[in-house]
Amino acid sequence: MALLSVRDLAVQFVTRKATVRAVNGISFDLEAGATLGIVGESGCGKSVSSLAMLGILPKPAGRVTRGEVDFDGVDLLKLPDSQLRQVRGKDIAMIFQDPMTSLNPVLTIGRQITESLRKHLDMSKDEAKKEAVSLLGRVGIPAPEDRIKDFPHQFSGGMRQRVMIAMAISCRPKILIADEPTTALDVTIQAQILDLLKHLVAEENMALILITHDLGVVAGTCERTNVMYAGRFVESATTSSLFARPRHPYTLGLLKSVPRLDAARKEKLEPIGGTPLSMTQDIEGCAFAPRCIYATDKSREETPELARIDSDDHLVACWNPVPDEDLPHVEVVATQAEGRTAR
Amino acid sequence: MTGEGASELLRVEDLKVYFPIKSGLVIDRHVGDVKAVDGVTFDITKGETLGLVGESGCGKTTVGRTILRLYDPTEGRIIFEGNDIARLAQREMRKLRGRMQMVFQDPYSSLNPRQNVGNLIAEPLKIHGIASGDNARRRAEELLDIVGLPKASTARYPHEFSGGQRQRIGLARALALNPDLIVADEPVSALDVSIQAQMVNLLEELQEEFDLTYLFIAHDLAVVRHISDRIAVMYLGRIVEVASADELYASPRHPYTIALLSAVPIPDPEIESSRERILLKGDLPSPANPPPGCRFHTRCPFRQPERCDTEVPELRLLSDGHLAACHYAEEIKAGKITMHDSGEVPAHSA
Amino acid sequence: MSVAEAEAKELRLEQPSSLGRDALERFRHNKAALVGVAVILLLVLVAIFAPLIAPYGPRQQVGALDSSDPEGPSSEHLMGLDEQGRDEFSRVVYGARLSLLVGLVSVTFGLTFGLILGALAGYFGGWIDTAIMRVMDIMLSIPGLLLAIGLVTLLGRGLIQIMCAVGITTIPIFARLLRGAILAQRESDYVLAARSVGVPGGRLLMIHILPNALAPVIVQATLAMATAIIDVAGLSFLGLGPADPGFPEWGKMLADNASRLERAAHLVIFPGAAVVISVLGLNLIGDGLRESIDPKLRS
Repeated sequence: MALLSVRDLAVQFVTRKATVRAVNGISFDLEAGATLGIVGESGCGKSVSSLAMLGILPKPAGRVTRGEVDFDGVDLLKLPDSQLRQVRGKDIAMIFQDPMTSLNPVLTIGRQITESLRKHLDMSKDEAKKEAVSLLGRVGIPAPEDRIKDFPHQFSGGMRQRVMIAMAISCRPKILIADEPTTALDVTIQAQILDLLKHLVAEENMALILITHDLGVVAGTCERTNVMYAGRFVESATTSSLFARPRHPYTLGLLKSVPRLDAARKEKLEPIGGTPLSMTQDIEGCAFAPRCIYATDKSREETPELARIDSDDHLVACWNPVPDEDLPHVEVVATQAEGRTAR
Repeated sequence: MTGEGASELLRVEDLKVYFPIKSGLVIDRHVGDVKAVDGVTFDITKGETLGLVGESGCGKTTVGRTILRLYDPTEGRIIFEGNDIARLAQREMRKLRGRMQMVFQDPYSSLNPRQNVGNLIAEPLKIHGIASGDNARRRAEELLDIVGLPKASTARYPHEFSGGQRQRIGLARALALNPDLIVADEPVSALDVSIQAQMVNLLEELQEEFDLTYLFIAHDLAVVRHISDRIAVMYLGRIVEVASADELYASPRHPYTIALLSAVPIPDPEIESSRERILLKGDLPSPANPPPGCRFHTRCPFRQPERCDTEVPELRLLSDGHLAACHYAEEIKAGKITMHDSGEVPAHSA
Repeated sequence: MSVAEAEAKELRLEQPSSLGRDALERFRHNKAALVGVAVILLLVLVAIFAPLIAPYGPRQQVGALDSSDPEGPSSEHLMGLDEQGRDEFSRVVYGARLSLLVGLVSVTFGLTFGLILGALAGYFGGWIDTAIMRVMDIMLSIPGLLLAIGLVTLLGRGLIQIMCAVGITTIPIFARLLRGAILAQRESDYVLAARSVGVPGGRLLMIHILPNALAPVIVQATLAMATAIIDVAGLSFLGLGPADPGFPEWGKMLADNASRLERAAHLVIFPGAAVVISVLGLNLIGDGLRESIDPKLRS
């Protein structure tokens, strides 16, 4: 049985002006130690779905309208908050995009980490302190015994994100949800953080859900990737399958619209036409149809469900998946620089 | 390395922009400087797109804004069409404003929320006495059309538009005065991926149509490489390398450029899993307290015991036409110097 | 359909909405704020139509002079008679005029000077800023009511003097508020953009910075009106108000009858309630304004 099993999760935000259907029924399984990437642009619902899973949607507007989130046999959506608090931070941990706002600015880092340790693992003050120092060392913070007394603002962006990761893994969670963890970081720092995450996942046999808009990031970090659009998964596959054979026109569009550093320079980028959907209207048929070059009448009338294509573990929700001749072929331009790094 | 044939539109010579740090109990004393830009030299040919890349704190935004005299330079020259404007009085500068414009990064804060779009775009026309009233409005509608927005937008307010649309409004405003130079400061970074491509294409089309020259400031190397003819890489207030876009990627000469390129994730799982990444150690030093000698030496995987921490390297011309500021650029290329540590982040506890 | 056409279609569906219109929308749906508006509207109507509403004049004597046991509320006199035999209801009604006047004048006075000083300090910075702000700091270091008392002592007794004094105490608050708001707006991208386009300083301040900086000031102005009414009432209470004994100002009415609470509670309760209700109405409006203006500014 999978460690985490989400079935038909749907989330709405109800305000006086309008009802926003943020998530429209997503399902996926996550095995222990697996890495799953959820890719999508802003407003597709990727962040909201993980907030919903952990029961931390902004209230009162946000509400789960249907679905199940089975973690180790228990439906998290049905748990009262008091029990959910046991799961949050201990079994499932989450790190966010902006570490500055996720850390309490008036408490030292040490205090924030030990608080979590003492609460969830019932450690004594000394044990917790020792563990905190050890954790900071593991995530690559130099001189952790000294830095444990520092406040969040005394750390740089990259260091703060490492602190967040240290806090997140402190109770050895079974799942780590990372919501755009490197989006606010410089690219050289991003590389460090992603590398750290990969090491930790391997060492702790921790499952990772990585939410991001950056295709490059999932390519390097996740075994499986789901592409999200307008609150639904439109494609789900192993990462290598997804990039080699992007069968959903949206996935293909994303790949073609991003310039690749290692490819020959194209004359023009090929953007996806149109604008992302407004989530307040009822969608008839496929949400992507208005922007899709393969759309047919059926696309506009009937909503496609995820179905197998190419292989058992490649799913796509599309009536007109991308044909073979349109799959991307990338001309990779060799670089001398990377050859030099092989040791 | 300058463009051939065509004329030079902008040249920046040894530009320095220092922001004073003040501290004190009753009266603020000048205790130090944030050396945001510390000796930058480059030029842009008319019609060219020069990309300016670097990470946070490298000073690229400051360079862009100082060229437009939104900040005042501490030292150095800014030569626009042959005239040094670095110390021009603001009143004189106003006359030149029409020739150089800026597109800003944040579509949500770069438009006055209380002005409707029509007024926003027409404002430059009115202030410079080019058009007013109905004429101005007509011109605003024309500009909106050029950037692909409906004419009815003039009556609307910025918050009624999406991020990508707002960026286009900002672009329309920048085009209003028919500038020669546009400094685009991270124009697509805040946009969704699928909208970025639209914006990049639009920028390129407009460059063709109106014979524009771009200084394209960004941190996304892939986008910069796509749109630029040449690229200058900045680190901590100085330029470390200048080369043509293809050349920069194919054979980067400065260790920072090498590391930067290595860090960019490629949307290809096969390549990502087989790549050997260079991971730089530690964080970017603070521009208030930059390292002595070569600013990159504290994180440089090719650093040598001699010269690197004492002597500031000059940006010099290398044999393949690149400009690079590294004492050992030739030795590194020849393979005589290799990385002495991979700079990998220690991920294991003792 | 091209992208531009699709967008045009979308735009045509709705009316253009400025930030002001949006704020008004939100205000309209704020129940508490609407209650406040209703209360103040009532106050304004009462003030305007006082001669029609009040059965007697505010100084008109209908009962016994210098009564030790003034009549309580009755069917003839809704709020009873006061200690000089005047109809209390009429006095409360006419009092509304004075309270409104007081609130408006003192706040307008304070707002005008406060805005000018705040704008100068925020826009020019440097020593102008330092000089103005130090003076404001000094003023703020003295508790409002004490400052008002001091000023009245200086200016002399009288309604106008009180209004000026109270107005002066609000100057530093507005100055600070506006200065802060201007400083914040000055660094924003859209101001930089306006500068890059060549917008001269004066226009920059008036068209770009000020409209975006005024929001917190507007909220404060409504709240300041409430405080002004209380302060003037307080000053009258302390005997620093107009010397005229028959003056129908709520605070004065409270002052004159504070000692009579046991015997003639109606002479304290009614003017007191009038003050409380007016202040409450203004506070509700102020809070409602703050809530409706804030969210859009943040996004």
